[in-house]
Parts: sequence; structure tokens; C-alpha cells
Amino acid sequence: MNDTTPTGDDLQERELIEAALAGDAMAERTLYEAHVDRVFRLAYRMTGDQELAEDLTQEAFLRAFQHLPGFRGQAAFATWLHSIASSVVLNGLRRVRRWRQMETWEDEAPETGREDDDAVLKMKLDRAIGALPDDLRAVFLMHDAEGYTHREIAAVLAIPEGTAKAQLARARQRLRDALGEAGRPMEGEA
Amino acid sequence: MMDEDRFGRLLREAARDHHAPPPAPRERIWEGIQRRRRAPRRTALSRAFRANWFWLPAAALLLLVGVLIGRETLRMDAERQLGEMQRRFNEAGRGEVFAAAAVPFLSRADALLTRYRSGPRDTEDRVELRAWAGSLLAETRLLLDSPAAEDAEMRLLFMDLELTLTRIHQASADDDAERRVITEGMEDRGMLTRLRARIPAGQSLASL
Repeated sequence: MNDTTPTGDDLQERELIEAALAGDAMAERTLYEAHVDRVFRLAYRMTGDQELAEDLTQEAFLRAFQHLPGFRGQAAFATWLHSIASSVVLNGLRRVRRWRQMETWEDEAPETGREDDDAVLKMKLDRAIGALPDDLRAVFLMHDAEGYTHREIAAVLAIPEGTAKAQLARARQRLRDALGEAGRPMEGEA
Repeated sequence: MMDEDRFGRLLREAARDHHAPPPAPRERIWEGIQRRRRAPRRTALSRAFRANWFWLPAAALLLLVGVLIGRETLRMDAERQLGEMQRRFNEAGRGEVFAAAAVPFLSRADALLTRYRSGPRDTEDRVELRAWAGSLLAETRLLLDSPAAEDAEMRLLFMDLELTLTRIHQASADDDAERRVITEGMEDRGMLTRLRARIPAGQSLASL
């Protein structure tokens, strides 16, 4: 999601956007195909629910196509689209949580095994990731699961890059805290 | 106790495995997009909340919130309004009733965006605007799922407002560059012009 010098791909994408604006359904479909996987992955990572992730992905593309005339090309199309998608996903999560009380979705499987077994610790981490506030969880999953750079996260979430870094550090610290005694740093590493 | 290497490895694995996404069902999502373009919005989220029994009290609540929060000049006789709303609800479509109920909300959104565009006076003012944006955001989402959003232009306006208010709500309290980006976005979309076109003369808080 480079925002600086236009590349051949950027120029081709610009042509696709112009064609889509002119009503070319094939161009619209090509834009969709180029970006749907990443949008869906983010929606699924955040929700863990197939139907909801599909619903949110549809909503993100609907909004993007509706707002396409306002896309001025200052940012890369992918950044602009993911900015819309992240807003749709985060707002959708809030609404869903309000109506469905999503907190009960996470599995409550009992932990078996020693407290410091990798499997037990990973289960604790998985629950702790699900319990992170949405903004921290989004930054953490974008970075550590989906490989977004800090710069990409900052652009997509419309926050300063420093804030993205600070939120990732806070998320990781909360996850370490969730491991309790087993997660405490070794002497001299804290 | 855990060393950094082990914690880092466990964290990477937990992140990789947390809600690991299956391949995107591209065709089904695309079909859903086309279907939703052709039909009025009926998402899994909104279907359950569109029954009349839900929306009439919701409209009443929205109106009351507007009345309570609004300034003296906009304070209305709630009983008369609700009676009128019931009469119009019986005679006309729900969309019209909700469009009327949305006016106090639009007026407050206009006031917030006008103040935000002109620039907050100090950090305290910025924090207040962020909180204000947060409360309007909740109402925007309610309206987006209401019959008021059945009107295509109104729906686009709510969607734009949702995006703008989210950005204002999440913006740092001391970042002027961020405020300029948000303000430019508002101007690109003609937010204030479109908002004011929906507010009857004399009901704009921003002009007070």
C-alpha cells in the first residue's frame, strides 16, 4: 500500500477506477477481485464469524463503490479501501456486540495441562486476544497476523504512526499480562 | 518466567491461529454486493430490528434525545411531536417519520462539524468535540439501520457522517494535521452543504 510514487500497477488501477466510474462493470469486478481477499481476511480475523465477515466485506465494497467518485487518488486505492473496510468492521463489531452480546462467543474450553505448557499458554493468549479492546486488537492482528506495516496501519486507521506503534506495544503487554506468572519477563529482560 | 524469544514465538503463533481466515468466498460475496445494490438494505444485522414495534419507540427515543440535548430554541413539545409522529406514521411511510425525527440530530451534527472545521480553541475543546462526536456516532448508527436510511441520499449522508464522526472521535486531541485531513474529507464530500439541505430553515444550531 505505497502512497508515494505511482507505479505501473497504480496507473493501471487508476484506469480501472476511471472505467468503474464510467459504469464499466468488469472494471469494478477487477478492483473487487484484487482486494477482496485482504478485506475479508481482516473482517474474519476481527469477527471469527463467517457470515458476519462476508456481510461486513459486502458492506465495505458497497461503501467504497458508492464513494468512488470522491476518491481523489491522494492515497493508494488499497489504503483508501482498507480505511473504509476497517471503519465498517469496527463499527459493525460494536453494533453486533450491542445486539448479540458477542462476549459470549469466545469458547470457554477448560485448560488442561501444565500452566507453562505451550498449548495452555497459546490457549490463554487466544482468549486474551479476543478480549482486547477492538482498537488494540485491530492493530495487533493487522501487524502480527496479517503483516501490515506500522505505516499501513496508521494510514488505514487514520491515526499517527506513533500511535499505531504505541497501541501495538500496549496490546502485546496486555497479552503478556494475561499469561500471569508464566508470562513474566526473565530477570534483566523487563 | 518467560524469555523474550519464547514469548515472541508464542505470540506469533497465537496471532496466526486467532480466527485464522478461510479462503474468501469471492463469488458469494460478489453476489451479495449485487443483490444489496438492487434491493433496499436488509443485512443480517438489520433484519431483526426493522419491525414496527421496534422502530416506533426507537423514533420516539431518538426524538426525545434530540429534545433533551438540543438548545432552548429547538426544544419541542415532546407530547405534541409524538402525537404528530403517530398520526404521520399511520398516514404515511416510516421513512418520512424518521426523516422528520432525524432533523434535530442533523442539526447537532451540523453544529459539531462547523465547530470542528473552524478549529477547536484548545485541548479541552478538542476533547469535548471528540466526546460529542462519539455520542452522535451512536445516533448515526441507529439511524443507518432505521427506515430514515431507506432514502438513498439520506443513507449516503448517514454513511459519510459515520465515517467522519468516527475519525473525529478517534483523532488525537493535539494533532492539527489530522484535523486538516478530516476537514478536507468533509469538504470533498460537501458534508455541511448536504447536511444543511436537510435541515429546515431556522432549525440549524450552527447558525445560532
